[in-house]
Amino acid sequence: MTIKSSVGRALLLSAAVIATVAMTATGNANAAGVNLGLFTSLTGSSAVVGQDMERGAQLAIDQVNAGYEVPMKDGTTVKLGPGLLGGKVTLSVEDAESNPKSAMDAVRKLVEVDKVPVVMGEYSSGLTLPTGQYTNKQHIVQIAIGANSPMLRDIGPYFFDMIALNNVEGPPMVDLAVKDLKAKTYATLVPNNPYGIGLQQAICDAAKKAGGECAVTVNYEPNQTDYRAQLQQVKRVNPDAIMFFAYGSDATLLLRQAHELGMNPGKNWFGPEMSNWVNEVSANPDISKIAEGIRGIDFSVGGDFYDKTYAVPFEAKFNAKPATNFGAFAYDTAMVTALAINKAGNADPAAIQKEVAAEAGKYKGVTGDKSMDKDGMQVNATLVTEIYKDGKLEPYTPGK
Amino acid sequence: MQIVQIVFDSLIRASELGLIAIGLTMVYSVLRFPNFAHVEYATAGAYFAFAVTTYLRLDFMVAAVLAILLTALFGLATDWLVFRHLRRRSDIILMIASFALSIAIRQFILMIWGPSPRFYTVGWGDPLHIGNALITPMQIGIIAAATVCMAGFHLLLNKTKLGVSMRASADNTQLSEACGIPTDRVVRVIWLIGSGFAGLGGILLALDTQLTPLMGEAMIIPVFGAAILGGIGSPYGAMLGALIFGFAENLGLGINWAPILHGLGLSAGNFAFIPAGYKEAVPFALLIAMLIWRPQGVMGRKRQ
Repeated sequence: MTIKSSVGRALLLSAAVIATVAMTATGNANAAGVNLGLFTSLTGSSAVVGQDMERGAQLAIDQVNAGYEVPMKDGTTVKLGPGLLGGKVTLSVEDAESNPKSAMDAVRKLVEVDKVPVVMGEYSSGLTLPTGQYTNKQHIVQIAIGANSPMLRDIGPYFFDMIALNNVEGPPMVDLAVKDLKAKTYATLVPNNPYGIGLQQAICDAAKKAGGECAVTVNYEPNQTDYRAQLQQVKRVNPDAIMFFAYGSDATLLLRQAHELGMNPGKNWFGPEMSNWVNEVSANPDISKIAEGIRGIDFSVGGDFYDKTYAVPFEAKFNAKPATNFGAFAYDTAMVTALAINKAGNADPAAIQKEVAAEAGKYKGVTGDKSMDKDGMQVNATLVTEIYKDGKLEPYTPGK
Repeated sequence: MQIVQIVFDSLIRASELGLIAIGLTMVYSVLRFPNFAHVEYATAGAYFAFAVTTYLRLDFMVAAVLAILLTALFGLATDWLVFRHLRRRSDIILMIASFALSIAIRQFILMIWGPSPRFYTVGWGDPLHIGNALITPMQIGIIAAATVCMAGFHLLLNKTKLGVSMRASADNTQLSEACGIPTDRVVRVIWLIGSGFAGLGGILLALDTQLTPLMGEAMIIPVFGAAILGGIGSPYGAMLGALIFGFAENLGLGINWAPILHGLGLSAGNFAFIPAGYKEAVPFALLIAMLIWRPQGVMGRKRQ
């Protein structure tokens, strides 16, 4: 090998390395199409919801890649695709494993390695709050799918939320317990994370306004193998109503151990957002029997528009019905993201950030009105009252 | 205070923790490394039993025995495939290898059975009232099974030649080898017994709660805490550590401090508990105090 050819090869190699680094550094900015990030819990206690959210987001992206007339609130449509920004929309999915540390690792990877301009996720506030603070600092857009701790409001201008914050859940939960049981004393049994703490605060404030009180507030750590000591604290106070929230597999264990300790969840337990655990609980007949009669509230998702726009295409694509409400929230999140990128005309996070709230306000969501307030938080909070009966959630009229 | 209920809950917790912690501490006593994959043997044991009952449709008791044997062989196989090759490397290498193995086992279980909780098809039985406390027949069985196993292990250690060899190897491997004890064989037996115990612990835990691929990961801190509290390397210490851990968790959260706060002139309602979020902090505060007072743990011996 001659010196000349060696130098030539070295120069060629250097040029290739520089080009690769430059391409990686600019990420989506100069490439055709756009790569979006999604972090969702494919494993752990929230896995059923997490997998459903992945499918919901993927459905929206596939529709955009195929070319899709996106329905808007004013009755018009906006044509998206095929693809965006002159190329295909791709989705980088990272497993948040239902815990905040893994969620942070997942989002760092999406931002620093995949260089995505928008991160979608998560539905647990405990995972969303730290990741939102990070993406906001990096000036990367993050759109939460189903997380609704009131603490999320303060994250910053690059953070948006596609579900109403849970301070709206306190008054209807207390109202339900008052109408059904004339409840005065309450216990909260919620996860020790931003969602749980926000919910607990909302319930205790509402209880106080209704002339009652929270006699005990119990925050348990998710993903544990024993909740007896926490349940004992609730049982010993013997409150009129127990306000309970759990993610999937935590709910099954809490209900089982409550039953073994002589508690009767069907009698005086009330659950906000019961769709979080209905799949896991209904999968086991013994646990399902224990949960029979739990009443609560949930965000209203359904109707003809939902069926036609989301449920039917979902079933056609995945050969299964939507498993939870949150897949539809993920669908709306991905669709609003696509609209914002389309409007921005490029994949610069700063340009996309300016368009998210405006596009969300015009879009006709399958989960209802997606209008956002000045902080980027969803305004609409249409709640329905439900009861867990025969393995599923049914509409419920309080006081009956 | 519902003291009887706290005793029941603590004994159930200690039974599950103790069986897993014994295996961990046994392996440590001879090979001198903390095997983080040990808690995953518990998960593997629980899923082996689930697989045998589900796919081979065998009676649960038969499935449990088969699963314990499979877990024992599985633990031995991990030593043969992974740790045996790293014996002469530093402890940190062994520890990292055990971390990697634990992730591999967990992910494999996730891949096969998915993330949703699963349950054995064994009925739980209605809770029995004993005084004003409740316990299910299944939970009585769990405490009994753990007690029998620990008693059997005590007899093995003290009344058999194998037990004497195990204690000698744990005490001083080189000296026992010089005395003609086949330490390699003893190490294999320790892996078999330790992993088998973990498998049984996992099955009992799954019977009492549910099967999830993350059940081992959730046990890692209390199991290590119990082993260290009792004195890492001491099987009796692991049993005692598990008992202390179980009681500390349940008693810590069970005390109503309101009367004491009233007595101190502080405002409190009728109930004032330590916040449930600090459940694990109670035994760990105890562990820190113990390590300051007695670094080798309750039953551990000082090493030169």
